[in-house]
Amino acid sequence: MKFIHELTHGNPDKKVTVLHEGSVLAEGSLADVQAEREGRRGLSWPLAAVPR
Amino acid sequence: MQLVAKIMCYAMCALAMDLIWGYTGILSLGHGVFFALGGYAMGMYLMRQIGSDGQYRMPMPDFMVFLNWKQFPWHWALSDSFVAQMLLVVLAPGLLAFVFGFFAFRSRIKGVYFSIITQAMTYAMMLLFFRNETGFGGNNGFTDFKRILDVPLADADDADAPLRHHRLHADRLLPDGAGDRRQQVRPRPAGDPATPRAGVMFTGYDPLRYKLAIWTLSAVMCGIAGALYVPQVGIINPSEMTPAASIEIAIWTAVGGRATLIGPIVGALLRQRREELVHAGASPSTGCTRSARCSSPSRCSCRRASSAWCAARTASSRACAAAAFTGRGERVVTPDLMRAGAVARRAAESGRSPRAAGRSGGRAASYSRVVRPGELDIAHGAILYLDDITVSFDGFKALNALSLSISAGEMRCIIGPNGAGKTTMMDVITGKTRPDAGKAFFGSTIDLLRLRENEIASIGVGRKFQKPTVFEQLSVFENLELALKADRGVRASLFFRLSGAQLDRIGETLVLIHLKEQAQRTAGLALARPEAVARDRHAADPESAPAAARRAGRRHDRRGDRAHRRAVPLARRQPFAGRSSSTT
Repeated sequence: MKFIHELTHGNPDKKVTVLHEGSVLAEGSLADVQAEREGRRGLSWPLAAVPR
Repeated sequence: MQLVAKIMCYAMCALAMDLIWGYTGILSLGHGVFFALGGYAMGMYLMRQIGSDGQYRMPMPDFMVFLNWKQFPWHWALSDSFVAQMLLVVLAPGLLAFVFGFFAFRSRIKGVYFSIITQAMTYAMMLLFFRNETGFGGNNGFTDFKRILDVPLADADDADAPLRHHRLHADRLLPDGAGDRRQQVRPRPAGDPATPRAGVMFTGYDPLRYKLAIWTLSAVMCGIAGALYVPQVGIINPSEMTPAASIEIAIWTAVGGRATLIGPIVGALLRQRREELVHAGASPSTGCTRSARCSSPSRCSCRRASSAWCAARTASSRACAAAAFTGRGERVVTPDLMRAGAVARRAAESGRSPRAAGRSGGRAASYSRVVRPGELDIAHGAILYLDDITVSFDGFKALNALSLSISAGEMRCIIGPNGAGKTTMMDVITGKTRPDAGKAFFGSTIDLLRLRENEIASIGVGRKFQKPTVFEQLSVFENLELALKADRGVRASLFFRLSGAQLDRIGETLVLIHLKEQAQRTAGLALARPEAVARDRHAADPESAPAAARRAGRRHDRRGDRAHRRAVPLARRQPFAGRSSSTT
């Protein structure tokens, strides 16, 4: 996750797509995904711990 | 002299095996067929050369007279022509290998399954040639040869007679002293700069073409070896096609060492020596090693031996390395429009260049412009477009109506837990997996679902696997050569020459990955160094790269990522609390 954060931090052009059970669960910047409830549920890991 | 000649025939045969097994990893247990086919082609001509000197004093071969044949079968029509039969020596094994290999490789039969069907082919051919109706002499085959090109064949007691005969003719044809000067010709040393530099590419190669080319070449080599062998031993029969004979060829190569040029030769010589020792300890009647009239050559040491052909070592090893990967040799070059298109898109989005909108890769884009087939068209912004992709494995939906659009120049991170479908999505994009439903387009016009893996790689869709997939036996420099853009055709690869620009490109990359000093080392050794492992792990597990680079005392950077604005979908499996993690 730290790697994803390093790649996408401060650059809204770099998007993150969250897959879950073969479908797109969430899509957008990392901040958007982190804020998205469904995204957090799909990831099943503490996104809040990732520094913004 | 005759023993040396036979060993050289063995060497050709074993080299052929080494070429296909040692360098490509394709174990053939059917090379005895190709050897025998070449031998039979030569044997047909030798039988016609007997003329009326046979036991029956008839113009037809003795076995045909014995079987009451009234005329030659159709495949004997050109058997009295030396040239035609020499063509047959090449064509018969070559054609059989081509047809067999085409269907086998196209069906992706490999490993032990390929070995098994080669054995089946051998056995089938042996049964066919055992039949008298085929016109190949049945169980006895061809024997009792008298002459070749009107030159009497050697007896066991006078094996050098043909050599002397040809030497006499050659001395007549050559001017005085030419015979001495011939000995002054020195072979070109290995590594001569004039030697054509062959190269292969890591991606975009069609394994079918390469495997087929190497497989056919190997079969032809075996056929030629068989043709040269038959006049030495004076007999050819279906016993040369026994499965055991083919296995024996593989053993020669295995004993001496695969993927070496001297290995098969050593293996065959060891086997020859062993046979001689065995025969020396047996009764004199079985010691037929040097007999030109050996009645059962498949049982004695006068069989084929090892390898000694090496002029194309570099070419073959690289071509074979490419054959182990996906790709096809069509003249499809990765489009350079991607970077330009990405720049144009970013400029358009930032508003800095309004003119950039509506342009694709620097080209004017309009509704009236005709897109050529296979051309990458990113006029609509998306370089990768997935729509309703569904993939099921035995009822389990790995991808469920997945839709995704990635713009030119965009870096997209694909994340998700185990089983989310990240790898399957990559498989669909790169052609490894065909979806049950949906569409996948590269640009607006290239349908990825209609292309094979190598074709997809050729048009510019690359893939980095989790595990580093360098060719460890090649040097770092050669690995980078394989990654260059170039024609992926078999011939183009074999005669590939580095241009100055390509050399510069490799040099830049070597500096970038901090392996300039290791350029000539084998990749396996170079990657074993700690600082190299850091870079390697950068590729396999980028998260570890900053720390590894710090340990190596270097600044971590992603110039490689930033230098080329390509669309980069990254898939990463996220760590679960209390579970193991890995990267895709």
